Amino acid sequence: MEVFYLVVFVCGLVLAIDFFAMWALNNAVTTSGPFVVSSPGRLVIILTLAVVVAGGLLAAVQVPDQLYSGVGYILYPFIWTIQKIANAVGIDRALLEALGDTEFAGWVRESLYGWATALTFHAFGNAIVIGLTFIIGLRLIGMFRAISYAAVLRLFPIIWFGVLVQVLSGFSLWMTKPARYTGDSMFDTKFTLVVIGIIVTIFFERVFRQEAANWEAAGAVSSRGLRWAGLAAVAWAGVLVGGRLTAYLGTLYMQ
Amino acid sequence: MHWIPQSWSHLHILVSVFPSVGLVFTLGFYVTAVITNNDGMRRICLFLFAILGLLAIPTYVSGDRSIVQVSQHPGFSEAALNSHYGWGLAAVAAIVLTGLVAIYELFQSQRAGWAKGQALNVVLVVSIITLVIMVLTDDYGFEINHHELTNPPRLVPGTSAPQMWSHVHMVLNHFPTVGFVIALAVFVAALAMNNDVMKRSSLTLFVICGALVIPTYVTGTGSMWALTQPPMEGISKAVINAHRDIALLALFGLAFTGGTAWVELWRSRNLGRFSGTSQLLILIFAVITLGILAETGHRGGQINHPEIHVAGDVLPTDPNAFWTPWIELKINNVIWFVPWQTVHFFGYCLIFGTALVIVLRVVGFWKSMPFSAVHQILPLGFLGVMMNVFTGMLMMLADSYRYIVQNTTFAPKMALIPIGVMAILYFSLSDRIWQVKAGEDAPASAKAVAYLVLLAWTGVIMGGRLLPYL
Repeated sequence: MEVFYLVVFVCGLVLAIDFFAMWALNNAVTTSGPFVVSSPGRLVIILTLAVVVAGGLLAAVQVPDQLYSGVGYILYPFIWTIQKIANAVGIDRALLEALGDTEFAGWVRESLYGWATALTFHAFGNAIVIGLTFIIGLRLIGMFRAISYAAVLRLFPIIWFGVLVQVLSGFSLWMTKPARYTGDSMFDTKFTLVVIGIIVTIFFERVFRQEAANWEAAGAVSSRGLRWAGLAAVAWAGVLVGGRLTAYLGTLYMQ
Repeated sequence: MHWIPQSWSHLHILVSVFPSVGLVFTLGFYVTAVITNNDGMRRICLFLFAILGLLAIPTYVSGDRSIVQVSQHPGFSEAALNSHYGWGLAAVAAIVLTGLVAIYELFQSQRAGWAKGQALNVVLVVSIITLVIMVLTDDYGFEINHHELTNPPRLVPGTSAPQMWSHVHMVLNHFPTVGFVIALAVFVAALAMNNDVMKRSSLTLFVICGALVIPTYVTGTGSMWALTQPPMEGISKAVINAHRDIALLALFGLAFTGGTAWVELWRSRNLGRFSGTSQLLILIFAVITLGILAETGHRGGQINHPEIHVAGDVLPTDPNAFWTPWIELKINNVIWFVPWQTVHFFGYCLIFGTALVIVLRVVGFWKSMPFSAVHQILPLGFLGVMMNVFTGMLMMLADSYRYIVQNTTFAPKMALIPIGVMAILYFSLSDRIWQVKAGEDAPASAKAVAYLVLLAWTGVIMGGRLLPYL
């Protein structure tokens, strides 16, 4: 489980450094006063750094596996709900195996170009969703102030395009061995995070559309807007980490 | 002090790269000076042409004396020596002529203000002809003792790497090194003269050197496999590892100096002035990096130049005694590989997201924004590039044989990175794109660069993602 803690530590540390670098660079060129972090913002930064430090400490010392499982329990209610919904609509193991036996699944699995194409599209879907969510998040906390909120709204359709690419390519990849993917705990966690990410982004966009004019008039974003922006960034970052760990921590590729 | 050459051949190897590779960068600066009509920079370039012309003297003398020395070594081809000598004479004559034309032009401009276009053209034409002769001379020079290029050992399928890696590395490694020296010289002159165009040009060259060092480092690793699998006589893995250790430092030194220079270019574009503190920082980084580069070059030269070894040289013998093998071992472990790979994935998301937003504005999607507003997002992509250079090179080290020799998409990926980095420079350097206001169309040239940026980074990401499969 050392890998998981190290991923939290290394990625958290690098992204925190990036955040402070963006902060410094933004303030170096701003003409409308420096970007100041609010008290809740400061609390978020302190909490993030605490998680990073905890990740580093847990990676450095031997900790019982139960602690790692505890991280999974946070997501368990969501995973359980998704499993119940799947069962209710009749998705069972036989159906999954039948999906894996289709001609399309065979093409993605066995042909050189099928797997490579789906994986490439998946990578770009990922880059669009995470890249643009981070840019919108930074705008909302006070950076790039020359960009209006109305203009930022135009980025949401592109994010949805990225999500569509991710879903289609992800579905193609999943179809190569649906029964095995679905039984893998890391994949279940990642899939749950994707569902959470999509739901959070729907709410985030709705709040953005409702409140953008008020933010423009007040010159500041409401705490509701900031909360959704933060949740969206964390959820999609979790999807990326989950995707990487699915390849290395789960049972799918470690044969 | 082992950096000071103790034989004619050593001096020749050291000095001879400056007139040839230095000419490429001086020409680049000269063309920029002509385009921007910057008098100070033109004078500096003419002065540099004159210096390069002067360098022809030690290059010729050391080359001439080297022939006597190396002809005593078995394995040095007399035919290759003669071809190099013949072309070398032509190259010396050409670079001296370039230097003389530049000195004449410099005096003319001192006497009568700035000179006529015709004289400028003479300098340009002569220096371009000189460059062509230099390229031929250098290639014949490589053939003198790099027999692996002219007579490569038999390739063992699945084991050996082609000698193309060594050839490309030998050519490429001179560009970030000599280019860096030229950039530093122009930067110091720019600080002394307080000339903004010169500052911008030298900062740009620092960034270009920072971008070129990535394929240089990768081709260097490819050369290691080409020279050691199967083992070649006279090539020591321990000496190669000593070079690789310092080359890794040089890689980060160049990337850091180039990165700091990029930030200053971006910042000065926003504020319309340069920062004294940043310039001092860049100068300090550049001087430190220059020292590292000198040691890297010295250790690289010891790999395959027995003629420069002197009695007092103590060459390393233990191939495991360095920290590059230690890093390879560490990062190859899944415990460290996965965290750095995850950071690499975040990095490409930042790069592609930023590139996409900038490109969308330039091609007309986000026209409600002035370009200057979108320009503020650029550092996010820059941080992504820095993250990925660091993590990418560590991951490459962990499994270099697979990446470099066995995978087909890694080499194009490495070639596309400098193109992507250099194309992005346009957005901080061009005055026309900077003046594009809300609702206005970007110029066609900016659109072409935008498509190039998108294509380059798409290629880089595809090349990386498909690594394990093609």
